[in-house]
Amino acid sequence: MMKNPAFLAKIFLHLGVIACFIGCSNEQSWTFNHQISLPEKVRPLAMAEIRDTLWISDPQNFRVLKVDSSGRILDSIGRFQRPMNIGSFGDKLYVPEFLTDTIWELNNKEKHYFPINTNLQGPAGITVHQDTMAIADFYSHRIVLQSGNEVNSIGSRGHDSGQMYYPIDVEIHKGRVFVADAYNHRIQIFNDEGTLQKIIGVSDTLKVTSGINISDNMIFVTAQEQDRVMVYDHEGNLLQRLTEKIRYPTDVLLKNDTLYIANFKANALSVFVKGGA
Amino acid sequence: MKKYRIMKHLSLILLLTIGSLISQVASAQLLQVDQTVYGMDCAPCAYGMERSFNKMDGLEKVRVSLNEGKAYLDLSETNRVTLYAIQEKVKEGGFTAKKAEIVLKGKAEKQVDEWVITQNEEIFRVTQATEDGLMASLQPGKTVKIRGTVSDVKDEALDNQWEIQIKEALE
Repeated sequence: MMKNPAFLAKIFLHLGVIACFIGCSNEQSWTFNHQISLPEKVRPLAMAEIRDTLWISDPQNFRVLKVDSSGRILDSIGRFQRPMNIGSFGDKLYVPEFLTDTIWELNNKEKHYFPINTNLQGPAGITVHQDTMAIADFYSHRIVLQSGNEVNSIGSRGHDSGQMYYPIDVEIHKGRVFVADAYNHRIQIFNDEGTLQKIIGVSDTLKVTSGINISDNMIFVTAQEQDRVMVYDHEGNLLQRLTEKIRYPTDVLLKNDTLYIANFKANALSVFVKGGA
Repeated sequence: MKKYRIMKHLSLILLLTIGSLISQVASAQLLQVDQTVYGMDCAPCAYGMERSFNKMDGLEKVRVSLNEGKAYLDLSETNRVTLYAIQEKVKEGGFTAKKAEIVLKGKAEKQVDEWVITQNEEIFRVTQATEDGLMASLQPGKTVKIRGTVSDVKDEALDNQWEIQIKEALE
């Protein structure tokens, strides 16, 4: 029976599938690599990237910081009234100022007021993609979308599908709007017309989904009260649960195949890379 | 002539009343409150407290620390803010107010066998945990400025009476 070529072929085929599965899953998975310690007083709430450089919002100290890969502060821009989940586009940094309901645009250290054609109530997160800006409007329980002078909003206060309860972060990816619906403890995905397409994370009993980042095939979301970051595919299947060296994560950022996690209460960033350690 | 005298007396009474009110405002105040707050479990929630306090009259500076779970309030020289109003604000925000470290200016009075300090219709009962030396420095009817710790009162039982352990006499 062992000499039966058809049987041997089957065994090899199975072994090949198993080997591929292990290899593929390893390539897809994230492993803790190192931690970036920030100066003692820094409390990193959120991150953005401009020209390969990392920016951090530090609302406890009313500033945004430019840092290098070792955590050294390269630049500090202050006098922000609680800057929250910052966003970037091109060379510009966008800062939602929570206490004043204001959006600021930073261009090469110059700070400009960015007009929004609706009244915000606690802007907590922002993303800019081409000519569209999306803002997580915390106390209005909605996402504000502004393109040029046109303003639309998605969501209303509540716990049903499509409703929101204190959204904190938002991302736009390939025409879809991804919302960190923090106190509904889930991610909601809408199309650009505001129609709900998918809800993710409900079966994983997450607690306070506050930061979100999207790649072509993955969704990263922080569950800050559980000291973990969840990795999903775009269908909502859970791929991985990251917990190592993560403490009170409030934001996650994918940059050059490296995953950065802001640990708000640990004044440090955790860095994860793809594949084995 | 009689009418003139009555007018003069009334004016005097009015002036005295206004003077008395001004002196009360100036002599009885909360000047600083470091309020412990439970339940601030996210940055926007904590800063939401800050937004809420910023809308109160009489507050000069407000800072909420999520890490420390505290709201730090500096009050103006002419404020009429009560600790009750501060703790109600915390409650409205969906959080729980716990003990508070305060700087208080108020009139000391002896009531039966305990000292109380009054300000803006609030009564702070000085607890026996206060050091003897600090207790001995209190004089009936005299305005004092002290730093102390106000014990926690359950949110559902908030009223205008508090227990305070004096930690330091400032004036």
